[in-house]
Amino acid sequence: MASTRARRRAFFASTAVLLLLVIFQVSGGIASGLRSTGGLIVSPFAWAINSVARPIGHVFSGALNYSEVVAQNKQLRYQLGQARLKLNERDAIERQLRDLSKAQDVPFLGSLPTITAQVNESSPTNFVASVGINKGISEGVLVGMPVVGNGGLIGRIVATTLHGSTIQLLTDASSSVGCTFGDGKTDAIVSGRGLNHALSVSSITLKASLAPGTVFSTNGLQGGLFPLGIPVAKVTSVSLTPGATTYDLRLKPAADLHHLAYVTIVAWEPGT
Amino acid sequence: MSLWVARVTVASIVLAALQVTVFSSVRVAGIVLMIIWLFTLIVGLHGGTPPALLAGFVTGSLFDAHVSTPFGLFTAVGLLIGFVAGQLGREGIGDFKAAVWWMPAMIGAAVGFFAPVVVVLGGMLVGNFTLWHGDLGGSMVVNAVAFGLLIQPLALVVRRLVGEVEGYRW
Repeated sequence: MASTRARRRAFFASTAVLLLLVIFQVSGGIASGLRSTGGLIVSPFAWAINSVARPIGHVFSGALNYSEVVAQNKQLRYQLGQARLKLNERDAIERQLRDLSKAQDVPFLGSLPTITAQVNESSPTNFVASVGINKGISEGVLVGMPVVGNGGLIGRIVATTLHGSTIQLLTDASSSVGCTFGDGKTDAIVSGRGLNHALSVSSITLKASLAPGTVFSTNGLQGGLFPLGIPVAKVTSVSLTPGATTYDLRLKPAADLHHLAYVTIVAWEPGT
Repeated sequence: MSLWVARVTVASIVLAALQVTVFSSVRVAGIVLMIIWLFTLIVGLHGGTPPALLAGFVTGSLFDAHVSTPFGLFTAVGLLIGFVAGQLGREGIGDFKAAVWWMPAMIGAAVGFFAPVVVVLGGMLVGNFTLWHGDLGGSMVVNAVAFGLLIQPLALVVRRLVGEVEGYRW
């Protein structure tokens, strides 16, 4: 009798769990609301824990890596100088490109409004490659908007709350981006394979010219998911299998996804 | 509202906050320790099914709010761990007081090993076939070892946090 009751209970519990999963998956709207509520509940506790844990962590890492910090500081100063120099040169080129893009009626990243956000959460699990930022619906961030920074495409917004959003990184296994390279005549799909894995790319025939260092950038297709010309990935190695008709490529993201502090959200609504 | 409900709920919120702030940054061999699962397991072995289901639900749903996996996936896994832990605790198999000393560690290792698989299978159930890419093997091994080692010390902390919840077993 008791075992029948236990079995019944187990059956109802598992059915409820299954229903819960399906309902939440089907109803994206409810899920978004629940995410916001969950975020609101956790955020004061997370803030309190961060206030205590961060300074302690900084003390330890500062004490252990002081010489590395000094070396990094020197390197950063040098890079800042170089970047300033390039910025001055780039202004003129950008202006020219903007004028050309306007004349051709092609959306150009430099002409699109952007929102700067701070990364406040690294991927909370290994199952997805994502990061959290401190800007959300109230600041004009919408699901689907591309996110750039650190030298290239970082990913896109997949969930938003009132004052926070989740970015699905380029390396996430469910991420894929339409790209082009070189003269722009060949299109390819660059996909993620998990946080610590190289990117994969759809077959590219040997007719196309490719070498290590070639940069893949968004092709503006895929129903306009991403604007044209954002650097996505860089070829790290090219190998040819005898008899094969396609390249065997290794790609890494153009942006450094491991050291994200600030990111730029491009106010680009897919399909526009 | 019973006192244990309030204590388990507050402890679960704190654990969820710890998980998304501290444990998502402190990784072992690049793997995130899912401390919320271990917490739910300990609550179940210590206090029975209802507190464990509550812990699994609260930690899981709050964690779901922070990840881009299908919403409800970690809630479902939390409920499942809570139910299994509660039943094992009720039978006295994993009860910290009644069972042999190494039994909770073995149960912890088993839960740490299989819970990531349940996440992946749950994802497949709702059409997400990409979750296994996220270092599934590493997650299984690291969580199994960590759960096995941490279950006894963490049980002392959890007992302090949630108090005595004996008598609420199904």
